Amino acid sequence: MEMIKIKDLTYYYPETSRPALENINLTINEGDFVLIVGPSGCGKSTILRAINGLIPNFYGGKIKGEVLVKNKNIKDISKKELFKTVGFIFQDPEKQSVYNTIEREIAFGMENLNMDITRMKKNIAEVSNLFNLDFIKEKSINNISGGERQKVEIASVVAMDPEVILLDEPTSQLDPISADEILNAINKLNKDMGKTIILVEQRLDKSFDMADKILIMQNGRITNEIGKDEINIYIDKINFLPKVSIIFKEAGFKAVPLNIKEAKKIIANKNVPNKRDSNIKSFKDEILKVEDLYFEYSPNRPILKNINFNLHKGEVLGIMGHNGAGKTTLSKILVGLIKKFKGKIILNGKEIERLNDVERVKSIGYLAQNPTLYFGRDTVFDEVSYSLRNIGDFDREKLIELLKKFDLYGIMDKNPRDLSGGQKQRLAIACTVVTKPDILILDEPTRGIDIYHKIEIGNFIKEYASLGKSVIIITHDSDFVGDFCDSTMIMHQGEIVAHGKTLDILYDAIYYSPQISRIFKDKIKVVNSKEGIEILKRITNY
Amino acid sequence: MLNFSRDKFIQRFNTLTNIILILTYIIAFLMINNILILAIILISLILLAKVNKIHKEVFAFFRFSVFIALIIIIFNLLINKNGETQIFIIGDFYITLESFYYSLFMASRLIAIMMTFAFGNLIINPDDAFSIISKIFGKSSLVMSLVYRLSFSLIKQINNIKEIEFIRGNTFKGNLYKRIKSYGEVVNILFLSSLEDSIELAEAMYSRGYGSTKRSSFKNQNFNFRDYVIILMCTISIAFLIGQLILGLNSFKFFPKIDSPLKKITVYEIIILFVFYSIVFVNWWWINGNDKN
Repeated sequence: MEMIKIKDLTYYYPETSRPALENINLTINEGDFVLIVGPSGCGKSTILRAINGLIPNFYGGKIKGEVLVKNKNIKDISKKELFKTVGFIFQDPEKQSVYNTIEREIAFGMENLNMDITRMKKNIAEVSNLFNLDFIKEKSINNISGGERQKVEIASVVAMDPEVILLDEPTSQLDPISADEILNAINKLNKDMGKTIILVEQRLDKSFDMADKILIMQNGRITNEIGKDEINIYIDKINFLPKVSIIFKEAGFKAVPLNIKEAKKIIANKNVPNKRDSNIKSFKDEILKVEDLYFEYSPNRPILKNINFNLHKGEVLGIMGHNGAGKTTLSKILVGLIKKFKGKIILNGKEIERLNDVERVKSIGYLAQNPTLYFGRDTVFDEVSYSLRNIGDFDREKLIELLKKFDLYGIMDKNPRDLSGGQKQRLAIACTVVTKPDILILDEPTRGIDIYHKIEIGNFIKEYASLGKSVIIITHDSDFVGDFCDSTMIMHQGEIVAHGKTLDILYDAIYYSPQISRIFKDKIKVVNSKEGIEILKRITNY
Repeated sequence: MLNFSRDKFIQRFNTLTNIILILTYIIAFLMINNILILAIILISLILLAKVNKIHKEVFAFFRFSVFIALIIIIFNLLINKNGETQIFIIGDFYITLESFYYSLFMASRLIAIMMTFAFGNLIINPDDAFSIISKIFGKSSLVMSLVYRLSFSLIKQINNIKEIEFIRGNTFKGNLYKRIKSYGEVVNILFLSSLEDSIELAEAMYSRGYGSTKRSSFKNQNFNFRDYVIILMCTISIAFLIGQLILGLNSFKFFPKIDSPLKKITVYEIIILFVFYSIVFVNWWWINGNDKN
């Protein structure tokens, strides 16, 4: 049965001349799991919003063509009926919740459908069991983790019992463990409950494997509609693939695996060279020395203890660890936000507490997780120049040079909040490096961005380090650390549990190992995708 | 941030009762022009908080509102040149006693209203409030929810923004002008971010069917005898406040010469005070008297 049918759909957002969706034709059957991929701004989220009527009812704009749900044009379906049939889950759980208590949040959609209280109680009990929310049901929504919060939002939609569920990057704000839990829950909705799922997602490693059909979008159009079994036929046309598939594709394999298991099968009987070219850098000049660092917010409850490490000029250090391991607290101490710590931190030969404000801004730059909190000035130019003006070091020529380097020169008169996601990320980085800090700290720089933007950021980091600057990356992204970090530190419950060359730390890690290491486990020691691709190329040549 | 917890007696009232109670206080603070009456009503609010053991939390907010009140007094004294009695003169610049009293009154009114909001924050469950208001006002409660969320996210995000500003060289140091400018940057980002968040929340609410039909409520609250008593007292208060306004009895002159607060007290105001203190008394009685269960 056809669940969704889109005919010749073209849509323009208000006050735009370029269509966000152009001539879309699509059929989705009952029980399908459809994954939509493509670069940011290609129309993935817009197509979801067209299916549940948010476009044009909420956004306005011009629309042509038809969207049919269960063979009925959505214009002819009452809003209540439409929302009962098609549920929608957004990116950021923090921006979706209405109530403060979990039980009531789950009930919110049902209240809007005017359900009676007996049915609401029954549905809440069922979805709480389904998503394992029973043990947190009485808690405040502000006291649970991001992953749990997103599960609550999904439960709220599932409690309305829709036949179709649309999900717009539901894991983009979550750490990998929470993201895995959410993707497992989505898979369960499709496989066990028969719900039709349409998912827009940047974490392709798992979602690719779950989908029946993959839609590839570019510039508001669907360029390819591919069944899961047809991926290898269209492999040349697909740029958005799981990391493991990209590695094999770039190595010249004609049939690519979609997961580690398949990848290991492919190389199982191949002769893998047991020597690799050593690409490990060594560093001499120390820039930062941390000795016996200890910090607690409340007495006898240390957040950081016995922290000792050195950072060198030109070194890129990845700091990994579970939420609450102390990574962000450590970075806050380094940038001077937390002052009451015990121990010694020496930066460029000077104790960090003795740096004045100008020295501090010039020494350490910090890019926080949410770049929109940087933007309060009227233009991109003013935003980038802000730190320089604050420290009395404004230089227009240098600023223009920087704007050009970050591809922001053409839009320097625009308001920062009007930029696209990728442009905002570039602008936030430009704002951070404008003072040319000796140490650049990036907190989760790859969260919620696609694989190609990740490479852009990684290349920038390498280039910055090549100037003799040091970079600290706080992240959960093992593949990114394997590809771009010289050294790695793993933190757990406020302590450093491992620190050394990335290759030594990540290769035989159980949880933190990059995908390339998992593919070659027990065959050759590798953590870097490029090196892995070279090894695979040599395998094909054997 | 003042948080709602469910362990205080006054929180057992129906949420609508507490909303009416808070509205009554706010209407009184806005309509009463006699500083003496305003102060006595404010004391009744503090006593009500004390009886319910939330006075410390309300007073924590008092410190914050005093800072804003001081700014209002200073601006008023600098700008307002009305009044006959000059108490401070330097060259062409002077301050009058009347403008001083007027600024004191305006600051007191602001403090009173802010403390009422703080008190309301502690006694009204926001979830219940949203549920009730969306039932009564339908889609209009969307605005209330957004405002509530806005105020919550303001407080939550202020530290994050301050941290980023600090890292970018905004040190929040220097003279008063520099500090105001520094905090202005924070406030600007705060409002822009909160407005963007509000649009996203509105979209999420819309997509879960908000406003598509009549709503039901997951938690229905009933009214009991105590609710009716409080609502009756609030109604009497509001009736007398409006009656006084219609009859023009609430006029109080500050300029050119200030009226005597004692001489301007009306019978209406005495009845209003009696009702506010009765609310405090019945609360105390229900908590400590024979009827405490």
